[in-house]
Amino acid sequence: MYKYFFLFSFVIISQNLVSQDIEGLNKYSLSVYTDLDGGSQKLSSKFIDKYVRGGYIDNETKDAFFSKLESKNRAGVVWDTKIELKKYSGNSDNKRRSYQLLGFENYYLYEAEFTNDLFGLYFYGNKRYENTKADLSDMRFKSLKFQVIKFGFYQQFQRLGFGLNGGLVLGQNYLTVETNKASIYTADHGQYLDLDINAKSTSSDFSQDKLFSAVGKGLSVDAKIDFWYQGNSKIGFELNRLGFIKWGENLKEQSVDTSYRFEGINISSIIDSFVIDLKSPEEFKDELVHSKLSEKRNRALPVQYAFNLHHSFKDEKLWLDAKLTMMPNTLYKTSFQCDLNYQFIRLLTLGVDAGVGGYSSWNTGINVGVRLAKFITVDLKARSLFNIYNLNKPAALIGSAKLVIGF
Amino acid sequence: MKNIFYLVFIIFVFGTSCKKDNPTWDVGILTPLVKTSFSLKNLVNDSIYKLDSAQLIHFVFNRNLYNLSLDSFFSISDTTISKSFSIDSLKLYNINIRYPLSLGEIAKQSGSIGALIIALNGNKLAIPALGPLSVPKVEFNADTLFTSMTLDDGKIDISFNNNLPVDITNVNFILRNANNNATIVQGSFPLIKSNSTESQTFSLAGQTVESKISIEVTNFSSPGSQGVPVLIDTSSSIIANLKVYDLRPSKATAIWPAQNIIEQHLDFNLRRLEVFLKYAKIKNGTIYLKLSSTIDDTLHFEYKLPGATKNGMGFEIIKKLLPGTISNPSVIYQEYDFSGYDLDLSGSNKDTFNATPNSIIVSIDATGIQKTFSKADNILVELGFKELKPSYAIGYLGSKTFAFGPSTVDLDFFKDVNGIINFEDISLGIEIENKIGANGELEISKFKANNIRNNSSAELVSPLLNQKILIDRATDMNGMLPINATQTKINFDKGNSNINNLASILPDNLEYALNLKFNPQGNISNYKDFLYDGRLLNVNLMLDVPMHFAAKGLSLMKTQNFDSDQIDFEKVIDGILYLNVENQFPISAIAEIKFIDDSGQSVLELYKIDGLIQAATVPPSGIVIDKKKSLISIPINQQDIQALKHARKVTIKAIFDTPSNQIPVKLYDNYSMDIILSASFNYKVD
Repeated sequence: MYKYFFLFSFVIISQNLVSQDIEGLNKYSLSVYTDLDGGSQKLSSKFIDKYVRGGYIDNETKDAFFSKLESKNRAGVVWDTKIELKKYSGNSDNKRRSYQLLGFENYYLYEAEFTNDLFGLYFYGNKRYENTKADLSDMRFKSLKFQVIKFGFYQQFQRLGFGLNGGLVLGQNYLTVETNKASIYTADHGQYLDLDINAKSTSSDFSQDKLFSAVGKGLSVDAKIDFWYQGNSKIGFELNRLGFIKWGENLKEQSVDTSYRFEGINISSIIDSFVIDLKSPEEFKDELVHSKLSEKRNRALPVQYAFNLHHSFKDEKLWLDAKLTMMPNTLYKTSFQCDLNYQFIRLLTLGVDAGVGGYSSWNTGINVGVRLAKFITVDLKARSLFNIYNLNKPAALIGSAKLVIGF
Repeated sequence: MKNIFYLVFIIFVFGTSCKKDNPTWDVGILTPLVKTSFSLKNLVNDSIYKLDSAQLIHFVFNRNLYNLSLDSFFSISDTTISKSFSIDSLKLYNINIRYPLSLGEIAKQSGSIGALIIALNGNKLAIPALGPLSVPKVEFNADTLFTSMTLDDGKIDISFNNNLPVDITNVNFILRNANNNATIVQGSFPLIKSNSTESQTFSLAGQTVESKISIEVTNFSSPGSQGVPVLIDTSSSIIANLKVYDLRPSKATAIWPAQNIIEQHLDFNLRRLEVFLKYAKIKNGTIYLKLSSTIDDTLHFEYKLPGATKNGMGFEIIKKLLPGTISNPSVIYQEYDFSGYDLDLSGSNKDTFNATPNSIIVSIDATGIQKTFSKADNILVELGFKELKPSYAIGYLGSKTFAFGPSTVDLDFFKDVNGIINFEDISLGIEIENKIGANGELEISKFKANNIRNNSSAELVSPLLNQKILIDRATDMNGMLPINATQTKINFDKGNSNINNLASILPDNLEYALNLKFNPQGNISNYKDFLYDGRLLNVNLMLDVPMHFAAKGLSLMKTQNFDSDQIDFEKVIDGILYLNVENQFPISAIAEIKFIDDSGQSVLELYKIDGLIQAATVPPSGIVIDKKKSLISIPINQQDIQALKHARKVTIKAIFDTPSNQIPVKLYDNYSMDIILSASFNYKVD
């Protein structure tokens, strides 16, 4: 039963459709748009489901999952939510209308790259690593949270259209943790633990992490260009979040580079302190962690490049959407998402999705578009529905939801 | 780690409300709990731990039983001299009065005969008998010297010098104060021959003498020239002389001459000294002076200690004391640093001890004007030594006896050791280091070892006890450092005593009693004994315990902190404790582990754990190189685990037994037993 409930819950938060867009049909439109793109190469939906929903995780479950892990594993999620008010110009019969835009964007990014030994230590304990070195090298974790208040326009010239947004960025949370060389060795019968670690972290002032707080300030630019090659079919290119945040003076850099032998310390404490905040145990922090205020406080935003294709077939009842997305300087691999949609009746559109890349390895799902009234549409895309429903498949959580009100 | 997963997948939670509870799973944790090492080096202080040439461990226990201080030998009591001086020590100027009475003036009172005498001046005449005659009183004024003086004592000489050509007889005279006509002196001369002088001395004690004095010759006669013509010279005279001297006024208003009103040269004796010092170098101390005067004149105070010198200069105090009155005396109080002075204590004539010459002189200048001093006026001089501490002294130090004990000295290095242990080759030494320039005589009367943990004791038996042992005097470089101290050592070993028995009871303390007598043969140095402060006499005890023994049930114990907060024992399902031991001692052992809570109460006791900590193998060289490894597993149940929650300390005890043949083993410097207490816990994570 929980599967269906889980499925339903996921659909609720899923992603956009383009074809049924009522934008441009009115003088103004207000759209609320949320896009979630998360997953992991190797983490299975079943395991994550177990972890998130609680209950006892038995060794069989752990073994099944652990055996699939590679020496390096990725996991991450981007959650981007926008509210945009657009004012259109030109003939309302022309869907390719120019507009001016006032928008607000809320952006979260969490991503991690971790070794299978980290998972092993966490879920099996260090007993599994007796007389063995657990490798924790080259792991990284990043979290980022900010909002953008943006202004922009989109201009049509025959078959060509281009748009530009500029925005003020308010940053709330920034954390990076990276290990270069790190390992934990558990001696025979736990006589001692050797921690060998070279790691660094950069963090903003978490005590100020509130919505709209300006722990960091910056600028952001979005740009897009579209070319209509036939009717409503088009190809385009988007550049999103090209910009930076200058974090406040409390941006702190911490580093540790040491080999340390623990003789009487609980191993779980080591992991907690090492990965997240380097705070505990206190002895470890005070003696080994070097902390200073960061001299360079500018950090680039996670810029995104995307190539779009929207191709309509006859009567525009069937169309194909494809998107190639790149996010350099993140763990997000180049992704390709494709969906095919068909408008059965005026009020309902259904489609299927498939994709590769991103934080996951692959995903498939469905789309639903509903036109509730003349000027209200709700578009939902559950691109990873199949992954969620088949819990042994690689975890993927990709989807979007969009509500548009024209007036 | 958990937080990472939570962050990454929080989004999943976002759309689900079907979360039942926290995820849980089991992990296996291997963790060290306590690491400790038994080595004899760590068991005792570095100061105790010694090695011999073969690297055999010795516990050498040194204790200073007594440090003789200079104060315990003698101390110089604060000494003060205080003296009040009154005005009767003062002197006044002598007074001389001369009054001539010529023949002419006498003739004028003699009628016709007198006229004849005057007429025949320059001629010879047989002068007939004359008289009785008198001379009117004559006044003298001495107010340039004094106004009045009331005398406790004093003298006046009255003389008549008869320069007349005839004798005079029955000369009666009266000396009076002119103002009140009070008689000061009255007397007579029966005969004053021609050209001769007669004199009489009168006491002025109790008299008040004023500056205006009258003298009156009330009667005198002359038998004449007895018919023999004599040359008449009317200018020839009878001269009266008055000399006032040795005046000791009880009160006087006078011009006072410059004089020392106090002058004393005496030996200053240091009182209550138990030694007989000829010389001392003063390390620190103070001389203080208090002067008080009611005399209406400036006083000059001069104090000298010629026997006290510093940098070649004698000690002296020169002060000026301003005029005072009886109601408002003039006072000075001052202290002077006496540190660093060399003090000759052989007295003025170099024939005594504890005494140094000193002089006090108080003087006044000539007053020039009349001032009134009375007998009620006084000068108080108070002078003393305070807290004199010598750094060096020479003399005869006496035949004092010092008792060291009965007392006890703690031996704390056996406190963690239990069992039956038979030591070999123990030695107990008593060492006396004498830096005093005096002979001594030591007598050791008692040594007793006490184990207060098991209430056992053993007393030393040796022919060296109760023997008088001579301690030679130290020598110096004729009053200069360095000192050549003498060392006297009395050693108790298994050849002359039962000392091994004392050590084998693993004593917590040693009881002892010693007596030391100085100069048992008296003053044989003729006051040449010496001592330097801080360099006197030390009595040291040295107990040498070589680690060569046979033992049964010998236990070494160590207590370590145990931070149970590091492990959430509530989540531990079960577990095993591992005792990982690497033993280099050639003795096997069993282990006991006790976990203790904040209040010191035992929360988990693991007695006589199954499994032997194996003895290291002794190679032919006799010195163990390789450690023997032992692993002892100690399963613990849920009840034990819950008890561990409250543990804050853990005590690990190793109980050793030498092999059953009781052959003594030797322990060398590099020997140790390393113990790691680790645990394997099955742990529930949520």
